[in-house]
This record gives sequence, C-alpha cells and structure tokens, in this order.
Amino acid sequence: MNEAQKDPMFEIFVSEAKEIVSSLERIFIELKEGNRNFDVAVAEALRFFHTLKGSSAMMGFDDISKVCHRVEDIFVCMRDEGKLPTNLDNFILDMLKLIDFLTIQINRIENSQQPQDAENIEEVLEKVEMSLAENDKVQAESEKRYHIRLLFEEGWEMENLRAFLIVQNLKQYVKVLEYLPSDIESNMASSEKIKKEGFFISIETLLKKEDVVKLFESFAWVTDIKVEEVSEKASLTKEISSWQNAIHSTNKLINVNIEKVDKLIDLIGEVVITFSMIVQHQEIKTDENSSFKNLTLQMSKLIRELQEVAMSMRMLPLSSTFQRLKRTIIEMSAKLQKPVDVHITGEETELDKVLIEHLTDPLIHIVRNAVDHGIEDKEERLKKGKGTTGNVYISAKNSGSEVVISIEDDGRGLNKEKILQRALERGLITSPDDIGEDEIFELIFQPGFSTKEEATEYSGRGVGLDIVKNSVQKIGGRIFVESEKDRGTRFTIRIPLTLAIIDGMLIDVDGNVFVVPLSSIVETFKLEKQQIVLENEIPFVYRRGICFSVIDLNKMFYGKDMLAKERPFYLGILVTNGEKNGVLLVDNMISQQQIVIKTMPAILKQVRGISGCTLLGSGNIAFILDIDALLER
Amino acid sequence: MQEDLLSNKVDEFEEAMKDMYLIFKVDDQLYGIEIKYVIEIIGLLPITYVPNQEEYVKGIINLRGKIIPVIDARMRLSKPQKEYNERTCVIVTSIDDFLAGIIVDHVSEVAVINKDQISSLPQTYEKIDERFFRGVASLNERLVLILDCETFVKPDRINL
Repeated sequence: MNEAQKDPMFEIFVSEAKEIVSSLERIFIELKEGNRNFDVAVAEALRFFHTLKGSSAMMGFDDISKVCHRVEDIFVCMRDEGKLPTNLDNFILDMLKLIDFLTIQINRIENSQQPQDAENIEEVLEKVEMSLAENDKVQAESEKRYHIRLLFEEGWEMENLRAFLIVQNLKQYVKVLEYLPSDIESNMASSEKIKKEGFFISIETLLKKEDVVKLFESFAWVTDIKVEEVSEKASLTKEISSWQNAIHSTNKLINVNIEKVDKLIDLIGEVVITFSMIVQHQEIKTDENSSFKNLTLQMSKLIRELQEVAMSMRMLPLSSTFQRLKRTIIEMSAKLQKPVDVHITGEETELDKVLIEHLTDPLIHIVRNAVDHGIEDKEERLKKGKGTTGNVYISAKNSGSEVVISIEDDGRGLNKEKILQRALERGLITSPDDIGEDEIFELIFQPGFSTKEEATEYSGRGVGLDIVKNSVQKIGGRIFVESEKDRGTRFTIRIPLTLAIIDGMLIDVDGNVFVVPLSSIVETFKLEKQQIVLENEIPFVYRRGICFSVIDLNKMFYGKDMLAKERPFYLGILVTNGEKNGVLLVDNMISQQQIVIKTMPAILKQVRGISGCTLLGSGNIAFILDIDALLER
Repeated sequence: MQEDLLSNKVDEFEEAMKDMYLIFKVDDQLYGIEIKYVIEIIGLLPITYVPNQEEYVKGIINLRGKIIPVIDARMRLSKPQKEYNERTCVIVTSIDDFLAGIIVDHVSEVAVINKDQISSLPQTYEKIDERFFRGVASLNERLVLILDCETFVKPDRINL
C-alpha cells in the first residue's frame, strides 16, 4: 500500500474516485428532489459505478470494485429489464449509505488505513436487490419528449446559421418545441454561445432515441450528440444548466495537487515582495529614468494580476458543501419523519478551499439543529397554521471582501425564557436584567450551553454552538443569530474570502512594524494625553459617550510603556471584532497595503495577540495582530 | 530498476554523510553537529525580535521569503552573551522539515568522526546540560563536543 501511495496513478485514482462519489451523491439527491429524470439518473449512476469499478479493480482495491460490480448489476437490471425499486425513497437512502461506504473506503485508502469491513454494506445490497420489483415499465406509445445537446466542431464558424439549418431540417420529422440560444436567426453573438456551450433543442416525437440521434448524424459539423428522454414538465433551461455543469466539470478542469498551488502562491508572494524591494532600492529610487518607471508600473500590474489568478485557483464553489448539508437534511427528515424542503441559493459563491474545509462541520451542526430543534412536528406546524413541510433556506453571497452564508429555518424559533433560565442555572448571568434583549440569543454560543435536555441521534453529543463559534472564529469569521418565536431562526456567518492575503494597515510601535487587518479597523483618531484615563494602571479612553479600553502594544510585547513617552498627541486606532472594541495606541501609521500572510514558525512559543507575520517590501518582518486575542481580556 | 539505482544512490549519499560533522566554535570550544541536519550557512541577517520566547530564541529572520527562527548557541549553552561580529554566522538546520537557524561565533570545518571515536561525557559536571550532548571526540588533538541537533534546536516543551 505504501509503495502504491507514491505512485501518481494512486493520486489520480483517489481524486477521480472522490469526484465520482460526490457526483453520485449529487445524482441521488437530485433524484430525491425530483429534479432529475429516473432513467437519466440510472444511466448516469451506472456509468459512474462502472468507471469506479474499473479503476479500483485496476488499483487492486477489490472490496470497492466488488461492491461497484454488484450495484452495476442492479442498475443494469433497472435499465434493461425495466425493473424498478418498490420504494424510491428507501432506494435512495440505501444508495446514499452505499456512497458513504465508498467514501469511507476511499478516505481510508488515501490515508493508507485498513479498509472498513464490508459486511454492513452486504446487507444493504441484498435489500436493494430484493426490492427490485418485476413491474415492467409501462411503454406507452405516446409522443415522447427529448432534450438534445449538440456540440459543433470548431473552425466552421457561423454556428448560429448552422444551428438554424438543423432546426429547419428537423421540423420535417419532429415537432420542435424550443431551442437555445433562441435568437440564432438574428443574433450573430449567439454563435459564440453555441461554440462554448453547445446548441440545445427540445423536441416531441414518436421516434425512438436511437432514431433521433440518427437525425443529426447527417450534419458534418456536429461532433457530439446527447439525447435525453425527459418527462412532460422538465424544462429545457433546467436541463441545460445540469449539462453545462457537466461540460464544465469534465472538459475544462484538471486536477492539481493543492500543495503545488500553495507553493505557487508562496512563490508569487515572494515575487511581490522582491519586486517592491527592487522598486524601493536606493539606486533605482534615485534614478529619474522615466522609462524604467513605466516598466515597473507595468510589472506591478502584471504581478498583481498574477497574484489574483493564483489566489483564485484555491477558490472553490460552496456547492459541494451545500450538497452535503442538503443530504444531511434529507436523511434527518426521513429518520425523524419531518418533511423538510431545502432551498439553496448562491451555491456558486466561491471560497478558499481551506476555509471551506473548516466551515463544513459548523454548517452541518447548524443544519442539524435547525431540523432537530427548530422545525416542529407536522401536527404542531398545522396547529400554528404553517404548512406541514418545514423549510430550510441555505444561502451564500459575496459582500465586499467577505462571503456571507446564512442558514434559516421556519421552525419554532429560539425560546428566550428557556435560554435565560439555562443561563441562570449555569451561572452565566446572575439575573435576567443583566442582559439586553438582543444579547439573549448570543448566550447560546457560550460553552456548555444546550437547551435541549435529551440527546438525540443528531444532537446533544456534547458538541455545542460554542465549538461552532470557535471554528468560525478560527478562520477569521463571525457568526450571528436572529430568531423570532414561531417564525424561525437564522444563523449568519461572515467569513473573509481567503486567508492567505488580507488588506492591512501598517503601523509603527516604537520602531516595530505591525499589521492591523483593515477589516477590524473602525476609525483612527488623534488623542491627547489627558484624554487617556489611567485608573489603577488601566488605561481607557472616552469617546462619543462610550468607554474603550486602551491596548498598549508596546507594553504588551516589549515591556515598555507607551504612555511614558511625552508627545503632543497620540494616535489611536479603534478596532473591533464585531462584539468588543478597543483602542490601539501607535506611534505612526505607515501605509495601507495587501499583506501576504505567513504563519509563525511552529517551534516558537505562541504569542498572544499575534496571528502571523508578513514580509515587507524592505525585506523586514512585520507581525500581524490578532485583534480577537487582543480584545479578549 | 532505475528506482533501485536511485535509492541506492540515496543510501550511498546518506552513508557518506553519516559520519560527517559540521564543526563550529563558540568562544574557543569546538562543537559538532551532524551534517545531515545542515541546509546552509549564512551570514547574520537582520533579526526581528519575537516577544514571549525563551531567552536564547533571538527572533525570526527572513531567509529568501522563508521565515525561520534563530537561536543563539551561546545562550543555549548558558554562556555569557557577546556582541555579534562579522565572523558570526547562522547555521540553517532542518529537523523534520522545520527550519531553524543556530547563531554561532564561527564555523570552522566539516570533519569525519567515526562512531568509535566518540566517547561519552563524564557524568560529574553538573553545569553541563547533558541532554544536548552525544559525546566528545578528539579531532586533530582538539576536543569536539558532539551536539544532539534535535534537542539543541527544538524547544524543550514541544514534541514536533
């Protein structure tokens, strides 16, 4: 096994297998939601299982290939003999179990662990095999609908007119319902669209699928014909988007080891720094040669662009994470007998891969809470005049340099009284008056806080929302909760787009340069010494009716008292982490720039208040301040 | 077949490096560390002080874009501090992929010291931190203290 691991073939196998498994998961979830035609799903799943069977057999992972082989048989049965599972929902849940099994096996293989016992999965397989009923599909002799995608060979040009020709020709044989792009006669730009995405047609005919394909074979410029039979309602636009995903994910992606990307980003970071060292070099700075200045300007633009491209390589859409959430909800809803609809928006929003990895578990936790605690039983919902089916809304969107993810349910909402009571019991507050109305919900993020008495399969496993909050904060994010009784609860998570580069303000503290993340700065201001109150050695300032504690970086890090310096005025930076505020005293503000974050060497002791470091144009090192830790006192 | 050759080469290389030591000086005493840990030897670079570290950790340096900690051999060996000068240099070491620099007075040479030339230190000297030392060897009639690079560089409290 270890030998195999060094093999690039092994890496390819693992990444391909993972991709297949996640595609399978998507197929079955879409099938469950009725967004996918059963036959189409069967055909696609069959293809995936077949591929996985082949590659795992080749790599010698027999347990995977055996399971895939069995499943393949089942699917062939369904495709060719018209057998159908008696209960589609159970069938899908079983398939998901199977996909879990495959996922675990693949992960174990990747980490060179012993594969899991396949016995449980044997049971599942037998169950599925038994459940295939003999009821042959009704082969109605009615007109059928087909969705067709044609890809054109490159270099023929005038794609729109060619498409038009096809449509005209087609009309003799079949009823053409719709085609996309629809403006092929008039809009020359549609040509580009066809080149990129293909030409889509929706037809109705008595012809069999094979015969439909034949209709197109006479057109020399058509390179790829994809025909799918669809149900009455299926809209072409929806189908297209799923095809488009398929095109994009199969033809235009390559797998790259994340370490290589990281290395590339590191290197570019170094180029950025070296370049600014060149620009600031004495010999060049004093040189008045303007052509050189032009060159450096151009170079800096290029480097910035290069940096952006490299960073974007780490960015992944949230769709697979959302898919997992959806799946969690589907499974829970089946087990808890609570019908739940999942509404997802903005799944194409991209986020740094590392951040996504850290986010998945907290999101799953919130989703579980929503279904388990939030959404009521059918009867209770009816009594409240709600529909029997609960709703969970999952959404993501970009907002400035942040991504905002929200998870909302239309359940019973958080119970204020219970939370207060619990907080009193736990000694988090001494009286209900201690806490403002809008702060009550924040209590649920406190360690050891759980309003649910009994543990269920999905919650009460000792992991609370405090862990969720911690992991969100660890990646520089913030989490908020809103809730209204009987209306629902909404969690909002705001996270920076990426961890590797931030906008920062360079500040000078007694000759030492620090970076303050721009996102945490509220305002900067001058203040005179008498504005700083010193009570029992603890400095604070009073500003616009609010008291802020003063953080003396010089004292914290270097043991020197900032206030000991006599100066006409001090510079203060008001910083916040969304909850707490504080004022940093600094000698000077140097500049604002993009900062490439580097981690502190692991063998150093952790320094409270410093989250990492960066290299400045001069080649010097500056520390990046950890505002959260500074405000936490 | 080719892989075999390659791995043989690697083995040979490791075999050849096995008994090689980088000898450096602190005050007038010679110390040796196994050459397999040594990446390169550089002149002193500007050091950025890092708060809240052991005294012998002088800070971090920017080695061509890599940020690595530097420790002062003199202070790690509990010797009095001395001003750095132009002969002061930094031995960049790598232990399990963790880079660290050791600031020494002067690097003198690379020498071959066979295992049987190394004898253990006498147990009687309380002032010697014996965790650091593998033993002592004689080189051209001068004594070299063989350091255990791992315990010397890694802080006492972390298991990396």
